[in-house]
Amino acid sequence: MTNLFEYSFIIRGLEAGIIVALIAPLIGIFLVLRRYSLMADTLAHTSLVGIALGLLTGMSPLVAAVLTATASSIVIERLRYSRRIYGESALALFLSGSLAIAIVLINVGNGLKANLFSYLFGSIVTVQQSDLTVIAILGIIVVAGLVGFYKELVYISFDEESAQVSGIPTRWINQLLIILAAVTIAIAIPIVGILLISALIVIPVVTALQLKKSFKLTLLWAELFSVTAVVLGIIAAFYLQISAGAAIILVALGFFISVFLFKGRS
Amino acid sequence: MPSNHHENLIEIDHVSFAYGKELILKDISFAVHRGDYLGIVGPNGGGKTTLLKIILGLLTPAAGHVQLFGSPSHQFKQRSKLGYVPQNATAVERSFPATVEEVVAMGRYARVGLLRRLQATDRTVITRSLEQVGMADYQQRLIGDLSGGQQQRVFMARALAAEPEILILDEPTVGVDVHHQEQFYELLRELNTTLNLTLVLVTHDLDVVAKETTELACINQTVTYHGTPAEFVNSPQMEAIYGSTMQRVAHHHSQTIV
Repeated sequence: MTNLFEYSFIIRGLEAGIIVALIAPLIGIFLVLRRYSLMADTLAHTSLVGIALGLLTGMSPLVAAVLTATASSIVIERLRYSRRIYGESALALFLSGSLAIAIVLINVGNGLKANLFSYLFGSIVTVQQSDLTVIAILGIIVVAGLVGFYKELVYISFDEESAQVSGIPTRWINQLLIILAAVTIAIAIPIVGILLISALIVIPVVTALQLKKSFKLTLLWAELFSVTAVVLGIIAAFYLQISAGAAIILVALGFFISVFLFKGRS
Repeated sequence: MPSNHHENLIEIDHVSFAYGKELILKDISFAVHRGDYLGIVGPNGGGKTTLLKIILGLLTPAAGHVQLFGSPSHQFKQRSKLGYVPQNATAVERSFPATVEEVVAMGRYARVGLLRRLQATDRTVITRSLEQVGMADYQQRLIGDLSGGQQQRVFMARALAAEPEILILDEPTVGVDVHHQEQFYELLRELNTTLNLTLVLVTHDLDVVAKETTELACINQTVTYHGTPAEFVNSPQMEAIYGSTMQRVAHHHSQTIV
């Protein structure tokens, strides 16, 4: 059997994957508890516009994706706050709108199609050393932001009105969460691909929630499910010659089904 | 302890509010003094909750002003002086992964401040707050596993953990059974008399107000009554507003007040 650690692209893929696996549940727990799971999917689609722009202009697609997802997250949150349209409708507008823009950009730049495929479904072999640096730096920023405002985020997720009354600046903490979600999603693209990102953000958290633990323990379990799924998924992908993104999500889904059935019986 | 009518903690001054063209509150003025136990009653849709949200700073009045501890509401920074106990039914998510201790700790967060962690003194206050409401044995239980009455006590503890000077309660016993309601009001009475904590209780339950509070404001777009509860129950205003559908009819167990 070949030793997968002999391949530098696998090492890079695993390093990037573990960073993404660590931050995904941190964002995911707040999105899931606030009924905001669709936000992950929407921001993933807005990242596609950045990817297409990056490929067209020669800019780093990863950096361009971070920029478009972050910009979209700010506009979505403002729309939601204005209450002129429903929060969910704002997400739908951005989800389909950004997909349409991305398709047009792809039409304009003939020959992007082959490259684009790897962004839609994820492709750890394309992770460059420079990408890894970007992922690590942004990953640290996301973790610092979430740890720094952890207690306020917990309170807002539980009871936003009381949090606001108690003097917590709910509006800009909400905005911060969405921006950090956008960054997380953009840097997760090379690992699981645009179409599967929301699954990585949501499934480990939903699995951990079945265990009915305190907030801290739920988060720790989600981290465990997430990191294990990413590592096992990448290893399975290498030996079975299948897509890493899909393998990761299938392992995560396997955890969910096992926990769900086990808890249902006990 | 008698209330101190020289110290206004909340001052509502000619406040009006409208949702679009629909006028909800018109020219509301009254004050809450230190040590008061004020009941705010009124028919559904009469604007009680809207007034509460204005006091809490969640809504801005279209006209008029609210002063909190002597400063204008929008400039008031010491929010932890204002404890808030939300309506039970809307507040708890059964599947939310938080222990009682984690929920009560939230009451300390604004006091502790951004980017800071809870200290040992905060832990002491959290435990003390839980003891005050008789829920100290439930610290590690999940909030969603508790009964409505127990959850309400936890929310009380969360509000108390901020060490407030006023406690504002919005229909706190909706969905709580009669026995636990009585215990809950006993607790409020004790906080008011022994700790001199100022209480503002919004409720549609006239029986409770008549029995428990020291002051009463009846809100139906305007202030239709403000004074002692005893005078209110004998006043023509009560009949005019509540008519025969009065809430207390539903309470067969409790003493009749009129």
